[in-house]
Amino acid sequence: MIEMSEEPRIGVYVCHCGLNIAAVVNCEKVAGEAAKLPNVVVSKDYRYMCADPGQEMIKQDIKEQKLNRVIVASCSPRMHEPTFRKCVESAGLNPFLFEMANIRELCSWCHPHYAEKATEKALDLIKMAAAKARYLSPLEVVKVPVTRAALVIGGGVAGIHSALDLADMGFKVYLVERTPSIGGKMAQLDKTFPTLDCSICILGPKMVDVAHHPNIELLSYAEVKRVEGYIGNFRVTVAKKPRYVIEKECNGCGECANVCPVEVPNEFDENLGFRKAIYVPFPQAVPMKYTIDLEACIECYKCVEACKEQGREALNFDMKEQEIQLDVGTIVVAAGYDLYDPSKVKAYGYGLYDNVFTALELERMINASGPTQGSVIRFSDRKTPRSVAFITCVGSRDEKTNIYCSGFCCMYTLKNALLLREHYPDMEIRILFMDLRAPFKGYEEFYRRAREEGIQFLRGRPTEIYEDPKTSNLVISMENLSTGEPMDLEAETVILSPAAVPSAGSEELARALTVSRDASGFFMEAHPKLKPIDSATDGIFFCGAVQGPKDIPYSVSQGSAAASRAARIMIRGEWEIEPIVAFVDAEKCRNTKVKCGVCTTKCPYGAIAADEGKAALVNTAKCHGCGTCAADCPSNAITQRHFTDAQVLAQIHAALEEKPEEKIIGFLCNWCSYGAADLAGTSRFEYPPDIRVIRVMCSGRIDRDFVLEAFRKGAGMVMVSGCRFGDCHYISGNYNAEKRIKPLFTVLPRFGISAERLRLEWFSAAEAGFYVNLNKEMSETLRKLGIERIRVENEKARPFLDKMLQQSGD
Amino acid sequence: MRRIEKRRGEIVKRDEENRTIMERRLLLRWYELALDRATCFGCGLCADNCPREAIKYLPAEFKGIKAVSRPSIDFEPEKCVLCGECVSICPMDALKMRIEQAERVPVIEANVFAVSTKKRW
Repeated sequence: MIEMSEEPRIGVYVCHCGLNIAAVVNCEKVAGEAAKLPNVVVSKDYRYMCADPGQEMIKQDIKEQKLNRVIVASCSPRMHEPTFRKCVESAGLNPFLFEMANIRELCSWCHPHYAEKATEKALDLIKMAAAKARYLSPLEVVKVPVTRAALVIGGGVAGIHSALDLADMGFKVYLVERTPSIGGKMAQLDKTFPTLDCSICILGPKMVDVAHHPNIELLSYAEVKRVEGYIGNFRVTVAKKPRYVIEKECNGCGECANVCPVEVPNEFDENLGFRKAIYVPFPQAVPMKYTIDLEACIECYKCVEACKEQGREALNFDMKEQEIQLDVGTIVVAAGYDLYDPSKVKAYGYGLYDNVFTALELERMINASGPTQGSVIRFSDRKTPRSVAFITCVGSRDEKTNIYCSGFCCMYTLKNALLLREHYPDMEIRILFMDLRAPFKGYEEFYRRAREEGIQFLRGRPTEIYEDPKTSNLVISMENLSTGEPMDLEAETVILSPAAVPSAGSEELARALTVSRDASGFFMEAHPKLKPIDSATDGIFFCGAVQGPKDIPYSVSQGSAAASRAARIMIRGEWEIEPIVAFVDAEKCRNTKVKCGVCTTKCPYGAIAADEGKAALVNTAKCHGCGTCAADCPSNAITQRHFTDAQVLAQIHAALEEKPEEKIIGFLCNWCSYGAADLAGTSRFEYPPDIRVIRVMCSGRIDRDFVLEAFRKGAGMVMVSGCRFGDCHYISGNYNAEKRIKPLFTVLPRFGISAERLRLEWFSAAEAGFYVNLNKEMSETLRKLGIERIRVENEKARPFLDKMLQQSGD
Repeated sequence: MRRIEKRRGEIVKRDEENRTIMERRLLLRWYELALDRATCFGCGLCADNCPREAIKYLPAEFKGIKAVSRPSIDFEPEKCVLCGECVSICPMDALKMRIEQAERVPVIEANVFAVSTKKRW
């Protein structure tokens, strides 16, 4: 660490962000007030601090006014902190002497109707930043080596393109696919919109490229179990499921399947056709290796005989699940989607009536290599239907199922309708829709083409479908929204267009990767506009439908985008990570005298060693910077750089300088809680402006003393928050936080402080609504208790708090 | 008769007078395994030899020394793979298997007999 003893000279820059901040917060006034703060030598406001003139202003002031601390009060540090750090660095200032006050997402955007209070809050946030800035010290960035290999999770069209791009750039790629073959959903499709290209004809060659690429190692029939490590240095445990066929020996001749007596429904054909117990899902599968479905095998060993007759011994019934360790620098997640299960919409009778199909079932039927070799037939009589009705928005755009629009369903419905028209010119084809959405290149033209080819469009959402028991035809009752009249419509076959939903197992995967999911369960990107590919965890990227429903061109471009984002890290061979690691003050550490080692048990990464008789020592390369050890150290010997006790306490003091009883001190973890607060801002949800947020990396950093100190200084309420259990970015930080903070609920009332004045809450980065309601609740509690009562309680508790804080050495 | 709700490709079990029928309907392939309850005398050979353990043997019930029910068998449709092993072994011809209306037994056609390691005694 570089020592710095000179007197702080702070520059404060208040950004208007056009009218985003200035419309609510009086920026001139705030800048004027901020100028009066101790050590502040420059205080200015400007329309756009992040624009070139704004940055130039900072650089010039650093040089002319000899600033050694810079505060920009603007948007979230998750947005522009890197921008400004670079800016101050180019003017010769250490980037860690920069501090940001978030007065947009946390203030102006969420308090539009409290202009005065929002201005006060903005000033408080700047005060807090200035207080912290006084204690900032310059830090050297930590450089970590980067493994020049990438892991791609999911072998659908997005994952395939990502893997191929990375491999072509010269990186080693491990492509992990859960099913026996890569190809994903696209391999199941017959044609693609809007050109009606044959799906497998364009995907197949790409799949073969994957199989033959010298830089790609394909791990099919395997699943990611655990992910450890950090950007540049991930260690991934992959469980390879047993195929019972030795991949190296199998040449895909298929003699085994020919003799296998067991026929079971083929998932690849949406269970309309059958496969054997030893199988490849489809003829173009990659890898072209057989797999035994042991759930269906009757162990007759006919396949073993057949294989021997071919002069091979590829079968091994003793195969066990195998765990493989991979060291990779970056991870691309392309885990894809599932289709909504339409049997959940009881009114449509899928699973109940023979002739109600899903779009993917139709896709398999109409495919020449499908179970019917391309003819569309009914279940009940195996005849080609004379009339077909398509129903869109099944499992989407409905509060009872999923609220979101699945995006591509309109287009694939049009495509399926046109395919039917092509195969059966006399068929009566109707599409029942709520709205038809055909943006993007060539899509509207495709819709016109469907209209021109005589496909009928009827606006309305069917309420129920009945089956005529004699003919097995279906009667759809709906309101025709064009005429406003209820109507009944008969069709020989109904095709439902289900929505895309998060794929099964995505919850476990998100957990293993410690990335968040949004309210619908899709993976959440770091920023909806500027970081659509990045996850909140550095080094992990998303592409394709794992992040939200997407069509093929979109998925492909995201696959390539994710590849280039990942390559950007790997190309350099080393990566700078924030030096916000823990360090031990050897003089204070009591492990020198007594056997302690509390920190070693708290560290989720085993980054601290405490040998007997010696002070504990942090392994900087292993430390992820959660700060749990710092909060739990019994002798306060550990602190986290950039989030030191002194800095946090200074923030608490600054926040509570005036009218402390009316304020809520909120400790938010960087990943989930702060993310939710940011999202509440960007979504423009309004809540009362009582909270003063202190950002820490992990809830594990939140020392009990911080809470006590806040109450000692008279805080109205304190909120401690972090990720939901199991979602912690540092594995176990929130568990430790809970263990530490929970006893306060019994201790505080004994001092005279009502337990309801402390809140311990867990929510994910997607739960902006939760955060807003929480704030409303807390402000309500404050109002109910009243300032007088809070003052009385605080007075009563102060001697106890003084004593407790003294004991713990602050 | 209104059919019960099912997933595509799943086996549906239904009872008719003296018969229990296991039915799987794929688009172009209908499988049917039927047990004639009147003919079956409950020897349990099928239950012992089922390679997927999809047949439960139900012993006779007694009241004192008087038997109130014959021993019988019951299918577990989620385990069955319709291989026909039980049909091939039934001494009473109480089990019949049809694929596409034609009487066919896959294991007999393939000339295989599943390796059963289970012992009844």
